[in-house]
Amino acid sequence: MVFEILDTQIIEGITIWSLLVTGILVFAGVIVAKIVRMIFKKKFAPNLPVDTVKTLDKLIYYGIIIIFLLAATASQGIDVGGLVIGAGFLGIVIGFAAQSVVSNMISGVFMLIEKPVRQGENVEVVDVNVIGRLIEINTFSSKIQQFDGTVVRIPNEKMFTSNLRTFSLSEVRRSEVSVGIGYGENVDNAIKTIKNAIEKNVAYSLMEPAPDFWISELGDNSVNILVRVWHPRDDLAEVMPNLLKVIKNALDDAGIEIPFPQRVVWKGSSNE
Amino acid sequence: MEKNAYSGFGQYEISDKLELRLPKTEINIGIKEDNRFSYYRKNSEDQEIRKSIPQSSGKIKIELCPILPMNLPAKKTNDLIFLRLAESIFVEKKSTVGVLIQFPMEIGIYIINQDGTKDLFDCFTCEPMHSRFALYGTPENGKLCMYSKVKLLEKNDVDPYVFARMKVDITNNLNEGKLIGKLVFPIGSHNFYYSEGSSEVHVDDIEATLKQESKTSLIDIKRKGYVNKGTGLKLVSYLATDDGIYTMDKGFD
Repeated sequence: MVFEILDTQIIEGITIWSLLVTGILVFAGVIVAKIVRMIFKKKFAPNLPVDTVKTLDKLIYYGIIIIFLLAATASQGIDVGGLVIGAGFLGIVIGFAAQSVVSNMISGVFMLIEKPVRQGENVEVVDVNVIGRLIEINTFSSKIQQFDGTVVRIPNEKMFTSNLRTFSLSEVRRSEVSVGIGYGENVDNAIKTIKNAIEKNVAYSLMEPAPDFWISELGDNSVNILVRVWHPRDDLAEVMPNLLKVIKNALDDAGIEIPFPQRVVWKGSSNE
Repeated sequence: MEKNAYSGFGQYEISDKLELRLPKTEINIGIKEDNRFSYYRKNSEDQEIRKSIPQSSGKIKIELCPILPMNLPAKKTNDLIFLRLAESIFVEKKSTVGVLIQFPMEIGIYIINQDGTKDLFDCFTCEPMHSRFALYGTPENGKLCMYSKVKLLEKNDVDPYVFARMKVDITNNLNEGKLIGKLVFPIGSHNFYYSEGSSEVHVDDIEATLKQESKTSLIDIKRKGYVNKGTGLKLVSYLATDDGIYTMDKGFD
């Protein structure tokens, strides 16, 4: 009775038995894939970059399952040719219906191959004005953690076609702030005061190249000095919040005026 | 505080309390009622660091010793140090000169385990101005290094707790004299040597060789063991990372 049920043909050439065996083989494939994945993570992953590990991990896992699936169907005499043709038609239909989904997926694959930016690096996606650390490239989208802790999900297509500004090619980067001093102050003295204060108090500011100073503007109320500081590329947060405080304190201590906007109002007399 | 009032490098066994006095730094270690050792450090900027060492045996052994200047303000260079010489050194063509220079150090406190192994428990510097970064090369292709501005030393000069002494032998194989204003090299495999109870520290020496390659003047730098290392000095060594020759190919002026 049981054998008769198992021998029942669902469609031509495919019995319940053959489907059951296929399922068991695919299940075995999943177990093998998990074991291989575990070995890969223990033995090889520690020596590879994080993004390469993630890519290879997925390839190994799904690759083994697909191989088992194909082997199982072949061993049970299931003709997958029809399925492939069916899948082809289905692909076209899905392609038209879900163009952006497929586009995101392909963009994700290209991003993993081209690696314009690696996971863990800081990046600015210029077109959508998002700056932060790339934490993940998934099948359809990438996640960027902004410096305020929020995470922005960007579709892979948008990420791939956007201009990316990265900071990873150089070990250092430069930041700048502007500070105004009074017209009556000695500019050289002010610059020397600021330079000494930065060298002493901003530990992450590079000593070479040393901070440099430009008179950026003879403004309405002040002589504006542009202060440019080099620092290790990932230490923006160690430098910028401190920089203006250090400069302000140094100028205060040296008695150098930081002027604020002033307007002189002339009041006409009642005789005029 | 006078220089000789400072605590010397070496090992200390603590069963009750210990006070260590170093330039701009105070350290107190004491046992609490729950058999836990409390560790307190105050630095020159009045920052206070407190740590705890739970210990069942009622005593601990520590070592106060010089360590490589790679940890402060953060460990992020590839073991490279950039020594800016306060005075450039002129080396005549086809000649060799030897100079003593300052070499910055950080100070480490190791906990010595029952089996004799050591774990770094705390590290600090007595002069934060020598825990800085610099770039060797251009922003496009330069290497981030630890940085210190150092002076040439007379024979009896010492800068306790801030600088060790290093001998630099410079050989100029070029056909012209050259000025050397900086030295850049990896320090991962350098060892410190100190005598117990003292503050004088020496570090492995280096040999620098000026040479010409593709119309560019370069300096090859190689570590050389400290000459007097066998004379009763204690060794602070690290895992050797690279003991080969480092080539300064981005200038040395």
